[in-house]
Amino acid sequence: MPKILKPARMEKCTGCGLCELLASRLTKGKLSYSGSFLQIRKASSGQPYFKAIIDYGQKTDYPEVRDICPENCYDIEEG
Amino acid sequence: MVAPTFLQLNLTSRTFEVKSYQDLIPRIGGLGWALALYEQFFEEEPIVLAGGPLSAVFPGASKTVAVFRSPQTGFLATSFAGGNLARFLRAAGYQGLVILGRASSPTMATVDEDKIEFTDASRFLGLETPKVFELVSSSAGVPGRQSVLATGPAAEKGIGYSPLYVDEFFSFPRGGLGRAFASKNLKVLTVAGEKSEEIADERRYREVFESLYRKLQGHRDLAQLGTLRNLAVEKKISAVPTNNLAESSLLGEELLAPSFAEKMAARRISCGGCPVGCIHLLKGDKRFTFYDYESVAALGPLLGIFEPVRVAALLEKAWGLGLDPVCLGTVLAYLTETEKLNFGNEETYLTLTDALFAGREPWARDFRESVPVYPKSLGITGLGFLPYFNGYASLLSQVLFLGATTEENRGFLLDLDLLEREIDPAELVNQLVEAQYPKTLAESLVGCGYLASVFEDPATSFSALQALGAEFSHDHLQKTARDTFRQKLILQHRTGFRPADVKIPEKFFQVPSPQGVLEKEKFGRMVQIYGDKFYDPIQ
Repeated sequence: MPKILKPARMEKCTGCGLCELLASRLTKGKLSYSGSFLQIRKASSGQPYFKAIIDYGQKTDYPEVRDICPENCYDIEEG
Repeated sequence: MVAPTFLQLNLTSRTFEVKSYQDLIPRIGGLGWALALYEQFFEEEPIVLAGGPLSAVFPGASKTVAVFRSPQTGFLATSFAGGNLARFLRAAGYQGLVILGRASSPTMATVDEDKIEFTDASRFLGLETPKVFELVSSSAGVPGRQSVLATGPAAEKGIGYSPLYVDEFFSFPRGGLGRAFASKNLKVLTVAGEKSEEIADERRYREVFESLYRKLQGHRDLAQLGTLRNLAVEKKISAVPTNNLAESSLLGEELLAPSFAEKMAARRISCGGCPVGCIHLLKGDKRFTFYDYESVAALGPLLGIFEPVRVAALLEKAWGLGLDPVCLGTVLAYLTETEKLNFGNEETYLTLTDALFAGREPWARDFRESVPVYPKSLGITGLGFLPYFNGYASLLSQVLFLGATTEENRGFLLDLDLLEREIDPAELVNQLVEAQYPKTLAESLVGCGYLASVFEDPATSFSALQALGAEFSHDHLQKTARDTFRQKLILQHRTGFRPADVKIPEKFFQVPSPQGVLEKEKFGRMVQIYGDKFYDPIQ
């Protein structure tokens, strides 16, 4: 079973987006918050909660992405 | 280094132009760029918003600077906001915006890379600030994939102390940028984009990124408590203005950050690209509302209120109407004293705030454009007093517009150093001005001012810029910071600010500060030294 990046504790996410920035650099070698397998979106207006949109059609089990989260929102687990 | 590209929005003609400025490259970024463009378009009353070279690609470089003429003071104003504006400006392909002209009717400007639209914004008028964000999010763009700037209803009604709100929970504080937007009939501005950039030096970028990340991880105290942590320091030295500065000691412990957070804070959030997450939100009856030291002190102790839930009611009201909490607190405290009302009654303050907003009565009209400098008012040249009564340097830095917030000037910290020792007035002024040079460098990089120890370090700036291919020498960085500071003073002068004209409410010389009762004559001497030695000679 391949391993995947799992947003296990998104209730703690503060929306800094550093995971997106790093994911883009690791996968595309570019500075961007878009264009990788990972996007952070606001759950809804007026609510300071966030959700991770992950494209599991791509490789996602980057430990660097898991580890950069200052709130420890991610795990890498078998998908 | 690539020439910074700015998007010019002309609201009068509803047109736009994209311009790259080769001549701005040596100005580093942020404040340096924004002041230069403000000067270039001076006659057109521009509003300039700028990120910096490090914006959104290094941790903590999360701010956007605004340079504009303050509707509150009439003088040049600078203001810094967090949120995601810096990130989306960069992703849209711009280092900033220059906003010119005035729309003929309330307008929403939408920037999505090179697709720019001007549309009718009348559906947003009169709505409480959070409702505006809710409506924008439901009608345009993807939540969290764009930056949204909006004014509150107070700005529409001509109240000068109306901030510009960013991404719901952030704002450009002080100076009335919301009102400046409203005077151009610009109600909402959204910025989106998905552009990416090459990395000039991957190895060096990674090293600097990791080093910055580690440094920022050391700011856990700021993350857990927010800037309200400052209240414990201010309480300890008896510097919290209470009951319109009738005294400066805080009663009780309930407003201190840990207790406030326990009772009210539901969440904390981050600016784009910052791992610290120091923006604290309380959950009130109706909504989430952000709070920090200044807003809690101004709508709490300054009004004789010491319970979190009662302060929260006023914070929620201020945000809903789009009023700067510091100015609102200053006005309400003044009214309480002069009208002989009772301090500490938040119900009265909620009623007064509604009346101020409605502006039907003569007193309410008096307080619309700015916070007047009356003997019993804590107004400072149109602004409300930042509630740190630490001593000479805190007051001086505000009066002289050395920086509108604690993020922008060192007066508050300098005063803490002076608690145990006397200082010559000339030396104090000198230290205050010297401290502005590294701060100006950080403001040109637009690193967060609350992370000063990181972004005021020239070595950090040098390495980060080099990783992005910007080959500035240490000397250039330091010289440019000084030049930028000087340009700020020149533009302050051009907008009419004269240190010699400064008027200080008597109140500040009647109540003991941690440095004792401030002497009016000594303070006046400091203002004069600043004018004679620093301000006037460069004009």
